[in-house]
Amino acid sequence: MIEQVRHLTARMGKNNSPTIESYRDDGGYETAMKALAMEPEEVIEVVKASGLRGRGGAGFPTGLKWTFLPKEREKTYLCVNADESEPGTFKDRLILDFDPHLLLEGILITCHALKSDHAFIYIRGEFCRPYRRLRDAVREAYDAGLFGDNVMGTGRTLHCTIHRGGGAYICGEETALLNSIEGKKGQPRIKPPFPTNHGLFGKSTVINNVETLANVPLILRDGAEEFRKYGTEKSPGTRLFGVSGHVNRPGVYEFPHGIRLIDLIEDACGGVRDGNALKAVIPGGSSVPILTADEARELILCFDACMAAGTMLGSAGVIVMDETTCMVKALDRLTHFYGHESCGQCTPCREGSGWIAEIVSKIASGSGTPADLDKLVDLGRQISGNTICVFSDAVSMPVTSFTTKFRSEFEDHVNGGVCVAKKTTAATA
Amino acid sequence: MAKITLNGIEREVEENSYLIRAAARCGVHIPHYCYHPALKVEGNCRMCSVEIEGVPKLQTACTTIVRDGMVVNTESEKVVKVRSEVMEFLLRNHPIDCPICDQAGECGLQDYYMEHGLHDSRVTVAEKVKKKKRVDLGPNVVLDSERCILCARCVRFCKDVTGTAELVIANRGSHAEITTFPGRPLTNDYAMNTVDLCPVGALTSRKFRFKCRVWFMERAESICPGCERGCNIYLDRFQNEIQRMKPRVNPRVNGYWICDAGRLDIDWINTNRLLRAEEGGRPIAPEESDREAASALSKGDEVLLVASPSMSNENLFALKKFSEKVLPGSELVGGSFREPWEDDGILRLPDRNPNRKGMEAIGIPTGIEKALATSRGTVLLFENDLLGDQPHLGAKLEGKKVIAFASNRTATVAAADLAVPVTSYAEMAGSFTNHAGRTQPFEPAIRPEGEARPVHEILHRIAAFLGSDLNAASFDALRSEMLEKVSALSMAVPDGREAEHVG
Repeated sequence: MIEQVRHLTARMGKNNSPTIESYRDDGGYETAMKALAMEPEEVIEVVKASGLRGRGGAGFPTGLKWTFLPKEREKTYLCVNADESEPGTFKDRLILDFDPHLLLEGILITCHALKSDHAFIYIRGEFCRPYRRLRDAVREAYDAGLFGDNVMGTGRTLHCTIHRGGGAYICGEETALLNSIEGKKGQPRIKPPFPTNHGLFGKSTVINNVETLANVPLILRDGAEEFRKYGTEKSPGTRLFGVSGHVNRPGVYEFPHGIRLIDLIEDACGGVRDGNALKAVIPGGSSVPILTADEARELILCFDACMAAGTMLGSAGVIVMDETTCMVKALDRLTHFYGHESCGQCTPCREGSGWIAEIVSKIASGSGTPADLDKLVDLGRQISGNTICVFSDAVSMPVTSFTTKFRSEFEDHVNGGVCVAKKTTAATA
Repeated sequence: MAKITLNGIEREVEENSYLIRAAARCGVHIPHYCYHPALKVEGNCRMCSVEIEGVPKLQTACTTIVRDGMVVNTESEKVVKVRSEVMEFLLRNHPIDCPICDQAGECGLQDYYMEHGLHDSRVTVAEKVKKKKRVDLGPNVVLDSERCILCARCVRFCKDVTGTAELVIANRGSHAEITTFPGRPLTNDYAMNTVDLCPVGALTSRKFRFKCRVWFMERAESICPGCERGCNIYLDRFQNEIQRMKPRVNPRVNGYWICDAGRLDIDWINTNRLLRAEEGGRPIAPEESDREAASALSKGDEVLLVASPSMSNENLFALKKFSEKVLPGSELVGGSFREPWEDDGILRLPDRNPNRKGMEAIGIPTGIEKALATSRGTVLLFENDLLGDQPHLGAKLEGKKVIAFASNRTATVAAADLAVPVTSYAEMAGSFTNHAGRTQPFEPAIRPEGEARPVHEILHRIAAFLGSDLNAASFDALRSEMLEKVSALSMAVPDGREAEHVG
């Protein structure tokens, strides 16, 4: 039996956990007080030493990202990416819902480290309760003198603006997010220039994920070494795993990096529902390559092991599928999403995403032909690698992995429309 | 300068320039749609992807800045393959309605498909995304959304060049399309440049729509007579009619654009023309009109010659010579100045007369009001619609013998005792000197309408009747003499042109 390690989720489940009183009762904002007395460079050093890697998906070392800011800069913005929209990913909303002050303390410390006087939180438009709780928390923080023109009596200025998204998945891409805050159409920008040099409103900008920043107060409180006690050498710390799909107890679980995926499914989540056989797992949000049951059983959940296994840890949104899943229909669901969400800027992605969605839907409906399947495999490759952002890769990876690893199911669909997925499960029988 | 290796050949290119531009200057054309040298870089069409040594992914040449030592391959197997794949994507939802498309024949999709695509279609018509086929973006520009490849050149033009930002791309993915904000149509004075910018048939000119297949047309290099800027233009003709005016790139004068007012002002060239000489409304032969004019001038009355700042330098020079050599006692002034318009900070300059500077250089003074007030006898009006342009001067023509040399039927022509048809700028060779003193030649685009002849030819004939040799029958000889005598009018050397248009 594996045990959850509750660092980020330590306060979850408490009464009134989103309020500032509750947060302060648990020692909240004491770390920020301590950090504000440190030199910004010292704070960065601690975060660097902790080895914290971005929790949004790419896993880029956070401290290193911060040092990319040019030494001489006019102004610095911190943008918090709370546009959690990846199918199968729902861990940031937990923090926003139940411990928004943890994020705000992270913002406070990070802005001090970056010498930034303004943070923008870009929150997914569909997040209603998380938005209200975050908004209330920011108000409380202003009232308590944590934000404003005299932060914690230090005379420093820090403002915090919440920006609600309009519902586009692509706005979770960091440069599209910047455009969206600026009031422009949410479309990724060409890089370089990178946001650290030319970001929000043309100023130096760091963009971090909610979970990433929520780790910052804990690292500063306990020290880099304590943080590194959990997880692996290259993926230190704990991680919020959002498990969804055909498990008995779906939900968000906090475990150190390096646990086995199968333990997460079997122990923490109570195994696959109804005693069905495990068929496939997407380990890091819908955009990463899918694993067969055999591959899933071997997988260790950390950045590097996932890479080695030909997939990615991504946002740690674990989607579990049992033997009743039709892989064609599952892919149809995903490609429909991507066809709908391509921003339409670059030719291959704009035309390819919609095209792929149409072909998969045709195959799923039973009217596909072997030529359609060949075309799908082709397009999955064609679309990737020649666009401004990585959205096209996010379409390509599921398409390619589904059609490679579950090829026979696709073939069955285009040769007579037979679906081999088990038709019933105990719950529906 | 930076040294790069382009397709195996070492080249010296300008430092910090975009690769696509640097390559173009070396004569290597990298296919592109969204890139345009006068617009901000967007990098969305992905057509210009090239291979750069040491970079795992292909890079778009329009967003890549050259580095010393960069090794670039624009024709590698990988590049060629990706290009053809991008073509397939671009054509995936394209209606391929070339038979009814105005752009056919000068279309970036057609050209690049032949060059870089040539794949078999893997999509049926029924599967294509349907969009609006006829959208009035504004009074002069019509959008066909299905043909659009969303390169956003038009959007960037309105945002960055005119600053009016009427156009946006709405919606996402394959449903994205160009549109305007409701109630805010595309009305800026340069809107029709978006039609030129459009590499495909998505934006078409309302005026030119369905008028002529482009492969039937021939083009002449000309100069817009709309204002003193002297924008470089092409006049496209079919069946001796001017079908459309297009900008001709000249970085020193008009860049890549022309204004809509200039572009749309072509109908007068083929309509309402004075086709034959008329004496008191009665048509007469050219020979007769020349003799008639000569006899009016030989009576020894006072003669007033009125030149126009819309005349070419060559015609003005011939007229000046005529007044000095053939009619030494005559007075020559410039007249018929069009009302100024506003300098719009882009191309339009206040003075709407294309050749005021040329007239000054040749030494023709202004002061028509005074000259008309004191003149008695005969008045010769050259390309002057005095009654139309300056109606208050009409009374001053009363009781005088008026000979009008005009291209079109105007109020002045109707009132003249003798009207002689002359060629418009589109029917003859000549030159205008613009506001900056730049003398730019133009060539004839069509044959003269009716019996119209250039002014210098007519003057030569009249002089002959009066017993003088004006030596102005040959245009080339006349221009040589002019260039020799009026040094200020030396012809501008045409500037090197860069790729104007895709394909």
